[in-house]
Formats: sequence, C-alpha cells, structure tokens
Amino acid sequence: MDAFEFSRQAIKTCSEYSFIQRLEILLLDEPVAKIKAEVVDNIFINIFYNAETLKLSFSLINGNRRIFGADNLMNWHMHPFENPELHVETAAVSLADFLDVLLQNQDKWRLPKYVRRSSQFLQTRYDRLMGEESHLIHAFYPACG
Amino acid sequence: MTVSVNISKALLEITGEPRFEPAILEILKDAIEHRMEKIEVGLKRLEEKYHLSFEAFQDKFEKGEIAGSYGYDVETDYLEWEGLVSRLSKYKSLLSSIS
Repeated sequence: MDAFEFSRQAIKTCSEYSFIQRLEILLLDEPVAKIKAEVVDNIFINIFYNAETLKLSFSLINGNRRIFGADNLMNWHMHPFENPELHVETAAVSLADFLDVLLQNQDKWRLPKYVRRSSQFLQTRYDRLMGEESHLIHAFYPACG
Repeated sequence: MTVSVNISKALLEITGEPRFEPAILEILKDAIEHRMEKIEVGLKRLEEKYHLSFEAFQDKFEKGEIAGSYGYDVETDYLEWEGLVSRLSKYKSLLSSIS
C-alpha cells in the first residue's frame, strides 16, 4: 500500500473515533506519510508510515512526551501507559487496534470532566493565593521573604 | 493538451524556453532538485547529531548500541531518517528517469 492510500485509510479510520477532533497531514511524499490527529488540549496522536520499508508508528503524545505508543521498528512492540520508555513485544498493531486501546483506556490518558473541572478550580484558588493573597503565604512562611 | 495563456507565459518567463515540453521538464527538474536539497539538509542534521551515516546508525540501533533506543526521540529520529533516505532515493530515480 502506498503512502497516499495509507493516508486515505487513516483518515477514514480516524473519522470513526469521536475523541479525534482534527486531522492534519504533516507530510505526504511517497513513500512517507506523517499524520497528526488532535485529541484534546495538548494531547495528539502521531501516525507515521513508510511504504518502502513498511515501518508503522503510532504515538499518543501529551505536550512533547509520548505517553503510549506502538511501532514496528525491528519488531512490533508497545510502549505501555505505565512506562512508555519500556518496549513490550506484541503482535502487529493496526491504526484501528491502536485507537481501540486508547478508547478502552481513556482513564489512563484523559481526565474525566469532573476531575478536570476540579483541577481548574484548585488552580484558580492557587493562583489567587499566590497573587492577591500572597501575604498569607508570607504570614505562614515568613522565611520565604 | 491545452495550456492557458497565463501558464505558457509564466513558463516562458521562468525558463526562457518557448517549447512547452522542454519548459515543463526544466521546471520539473528544478522542483525535484529543490526537494532533494531540503531532504539533504535533514539528512545532514541527523548525521551530525549522531556522528553516523544512516546505515551505521541502523546497524548500531539493531544491535542495541544506541543509547535510549527505546525512547521516543531516538525512535522518531530513526523513522525520520529512514524516511528521508527513502524519499531521496525516489527523487534520484525520478530525476534520472526524466534526464
């Protein structure tokens, strides 16, 4: 399958997963395709395909850090959520397989709405404390200057 | 094949060649060479980063001799580098097929 056909199929596959918000073809220059699938905030999926060497790589990125991945460099392996620097051998993984794993493990990479809201609330409280009410910190910790 | 007057005029201005096919060929060669230059810049960056050719890097990677080879940065460099080599090879054969 050439890179163009891979990209066409990748777009179709991604469109079946509602957590993917936007797709961007970063490079389509035979035999290579690079696609970025945006998920939420700072989280996105990098998809790489080389039709000449049949190399495939899928990575879930948060900021600039891989938090989960699967690729066939040398042989098929996964980089698990628990420790993405690990290399755990696996059977071949398709893009749909990879997206299914993400769908089934959303708790490992996506904060539920109520937690997100709660974090934002705490952050706002913290910012207020550090800003308008910073005197409180000095009252409790005078050594901070 | 019909080509609009604007395109014919632009081709003539860019190449100085009044015949359509040789003018297109020249533009095509320029485009391929430009892409090859960009790819070579990418290859050079990676060769300087690892002080290796791609073949030597690949050999070391397969033997587990590249530090952090399971890390995202090294794996991404591997894929990127291999992709640049594949694309360069394609453009080289395209160039020789039209020369």
